[in-house]
Amino acid sequence: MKSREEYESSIFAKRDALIAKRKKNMRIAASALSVTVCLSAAAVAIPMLSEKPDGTPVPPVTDSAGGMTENKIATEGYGEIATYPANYDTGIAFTNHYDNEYYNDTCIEAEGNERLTVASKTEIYQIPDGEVAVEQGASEEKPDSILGQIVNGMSGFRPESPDGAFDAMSEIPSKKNFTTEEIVAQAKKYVTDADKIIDEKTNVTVSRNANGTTTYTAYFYTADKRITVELDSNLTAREIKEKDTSGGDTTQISPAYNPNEE
Amino acid sequence: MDNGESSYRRFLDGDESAFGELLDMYSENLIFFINRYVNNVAVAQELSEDVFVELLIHKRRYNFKTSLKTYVFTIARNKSVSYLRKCSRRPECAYEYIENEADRRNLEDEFLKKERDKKLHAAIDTLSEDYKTVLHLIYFENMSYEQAAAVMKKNKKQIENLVYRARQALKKTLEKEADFQ
Repeated sequence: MKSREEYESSIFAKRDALIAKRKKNMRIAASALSVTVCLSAAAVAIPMLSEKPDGTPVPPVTDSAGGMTENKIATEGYGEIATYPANYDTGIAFTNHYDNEYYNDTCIEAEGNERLTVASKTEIYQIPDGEVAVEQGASEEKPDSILGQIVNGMSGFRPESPDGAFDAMSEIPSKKNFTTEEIVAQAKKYVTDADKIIDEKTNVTVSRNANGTTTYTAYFYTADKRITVELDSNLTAREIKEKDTSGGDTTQISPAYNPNEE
Repeated sequence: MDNGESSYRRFLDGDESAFGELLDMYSENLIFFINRYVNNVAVAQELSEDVFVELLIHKRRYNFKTSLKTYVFTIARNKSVSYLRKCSRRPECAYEYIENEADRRNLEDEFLKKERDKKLHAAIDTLSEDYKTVLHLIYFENMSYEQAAAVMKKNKKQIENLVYRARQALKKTLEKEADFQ
């Protein structure tokens, strides 16, 4: 049997060991609790970030190749991107527009064929009706998604710049800014049939390549054709294209067999 | 009668030496009581230490409304039952503490001064667990029926019945021993 002193010291040693074990368990419990809280917060925050306020999921910004999913449509010469509906209010191309009429009607086939084939990382956003959307402050006043709010809140975001929206994200220093009127006026100099242009149809897009160069594309429409003028960052013409939009007569194809016709 | 409440209160007020008084008052009684359950003095000593650790850790759990003796023996009984339950699931725990026959004799000599008490103690050890416990608390710890009821988590009537049956069983055991001798 233990002596009185051994007995007493054994009791206090057990007490100290028990207190130490309790402290350790509390630390573990606190760590586990903090991890759980972090995971819960993340589980709540991530869906909030990836959904628009109306609950519509935002399409992925990049495709599996890492490129912008819609960029190749613009860079491959699909000028129809300029016909994005006017309610496309943020001016940022990678926000949700899968449900717009243009995309469904015009680009769905192009996407299916070429979605994964373009390596170019070009960022582009639409300027409806010849206005620079970010100059209107549309994205500041009415961001269409939580992602848009976050972009607006980022330091370095310059809504007054046509390409300022991308400065904060790509960390590329902004180039000289041009107003839509300047771009249109400069582009119009390269159009031979400038007097036939229907002004209200004029559109301008600004695109930014991965290497930092900015191109401005002006679309002019006459009664029978569309003229695309692509300007570099100094508003010098890089390429001028014309496309006949008058169309031809539709060919009537007769049925191969008509049972009523004897 | 003060059963150590004043010492424990002084300990809670910061007087470390008061805890020594509690040890002197209860340690051997607890070992003897726990040994009734575990039948191993070394184990009984370890479990009695755990009882005092409980007093040290959970200082505010005792409300001073009941006897400290009752409180301490209740903890001791719970520890003993838990140990037996643990050992029933893990048989190897019986070999963790080597029973020292000399320790057992020393313990009995300490408590059982008279030869008659030793015979009574041996006879009680042959009874069932509840009978052993209730007779020990009533006759060796001089507890009232109420206190024994509190320790054994029974009511007073149950303790009365238990004591009656335990006495009958003990009487038969002692009569058998007398006939044998």
